[in-house]
Amino acid sequence: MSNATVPRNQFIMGAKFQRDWIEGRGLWLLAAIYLGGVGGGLFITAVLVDWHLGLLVGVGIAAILKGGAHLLFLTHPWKFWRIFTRPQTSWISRGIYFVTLFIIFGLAYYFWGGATLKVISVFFAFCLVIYTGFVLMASKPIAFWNNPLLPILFVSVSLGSGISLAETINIISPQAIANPELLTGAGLWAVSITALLLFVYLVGNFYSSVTAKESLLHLMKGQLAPFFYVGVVLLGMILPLAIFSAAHSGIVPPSALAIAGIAELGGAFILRYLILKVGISAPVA
Amino acid sequence: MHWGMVIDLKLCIGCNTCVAVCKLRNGTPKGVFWNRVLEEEVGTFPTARRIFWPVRCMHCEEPACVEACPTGASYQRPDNLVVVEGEKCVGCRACILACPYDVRALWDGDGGYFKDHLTPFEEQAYVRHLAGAVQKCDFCSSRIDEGLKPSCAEACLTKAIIFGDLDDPQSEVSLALAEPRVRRRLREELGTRPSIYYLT
Repeated sequence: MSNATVPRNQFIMGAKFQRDWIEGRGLWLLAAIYLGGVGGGLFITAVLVDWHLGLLVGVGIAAILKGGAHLLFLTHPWKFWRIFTRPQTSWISRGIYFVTLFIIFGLAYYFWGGATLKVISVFFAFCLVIYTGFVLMASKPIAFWNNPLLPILFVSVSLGSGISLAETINIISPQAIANPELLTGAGLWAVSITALLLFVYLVGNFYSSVTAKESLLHLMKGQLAPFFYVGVVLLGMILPLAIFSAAHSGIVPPSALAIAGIAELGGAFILRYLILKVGISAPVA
Repeated sequence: MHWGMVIDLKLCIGCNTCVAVCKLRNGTPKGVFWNRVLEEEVGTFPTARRIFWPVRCMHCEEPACVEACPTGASYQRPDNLVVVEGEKCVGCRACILACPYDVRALWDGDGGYFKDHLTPFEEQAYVRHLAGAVQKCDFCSSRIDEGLKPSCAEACLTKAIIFGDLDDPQSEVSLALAEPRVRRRLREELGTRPSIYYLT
């Protein structure tokens, strides 16, 4: 991309990188989006493998870490309660309801159990991991985000991160999870589906609009390309896939799964960082 | 009542008087511009030329910023003006990213245009702006409420900026739009239905 299309001078007509959600305080938003995905994904994973403590860890990540990161992002955090007032139109407002209801029903399921609470808490965990995709998708001027596949990609990445965190904890603290054998297969599926969704998402952006294509080119050919290929493709996908596959076949020791888990968690973070970083608004005329 | 503007691009000479007078009247903080005149280069040598696009909040009929705002800080008045109530803003910047026209800004509260002190003008002007809250052009709503035109429309040297009630068929803006000229609104494909028309 030439400097002519993304001018530094704000009085020159041209496309513009968004900076509000990735620089300065925006990094806290990145952290919040990531931690929400990890927390929700871990909760769903914990339900899947019947790991009781994992439920609490998932809720804790979403409530304390994600919530804290959101408050640090806001310039007027003490007014955060106002975010509850516009769920009819705003995805951020809907999001705070999802987070709150996830915390309530997640804790309720942790303490009291039961099939009904299980279904409700998993539903809100799902809402928690998908809504951030809708928040980005709602920014119509940024064509790279305004893609219906983005929320689905975020769900897939979040589930992968939840499984990876569970794998890692299980290796560090054996006996924590009752059915750890389920994790490797689930991790293999989650990373494979994420890779497929990411591929379709990127191809879709190549053909959708000029600015979406510019974002894509920045991601894959610009200065951020090494982060994409090393961080997302190699660290977040190829390495976990290789280790999960090998572990599934019994070739590598289970301890290698911790490496796969940490690599996937890192890759998921870098993927979200890059998606936010390459958001470009089209020129106004 | 539906306040709107017509901007005649053939009359705009890119003098930035509207930008300067807006800065002066509204006392916008350092780095914050409620309106800008964007320069676009078209064509190639020897037929290259510049087009000047005066851009400010479009006061859309379907404002994406209002939809994205999670607190109700951005809202639409009955006369179609889109305004921000700074006291309700939490600084999430969702409206900045939802706006296709790049006309919203968040002032971080950092000093003025001169390094270590605020000028007497800045001291008086900046108290009107809330640090950490999003701000933007409100078509000089306080002037409109007094029956005056927005500062930019009043100050435009070439009368390229015409302001008025789009619902009134006899208003200046409606008559300008009735002229047999090519008219367009910016980024209409996004469905925002801006209240600023450009005559090309």
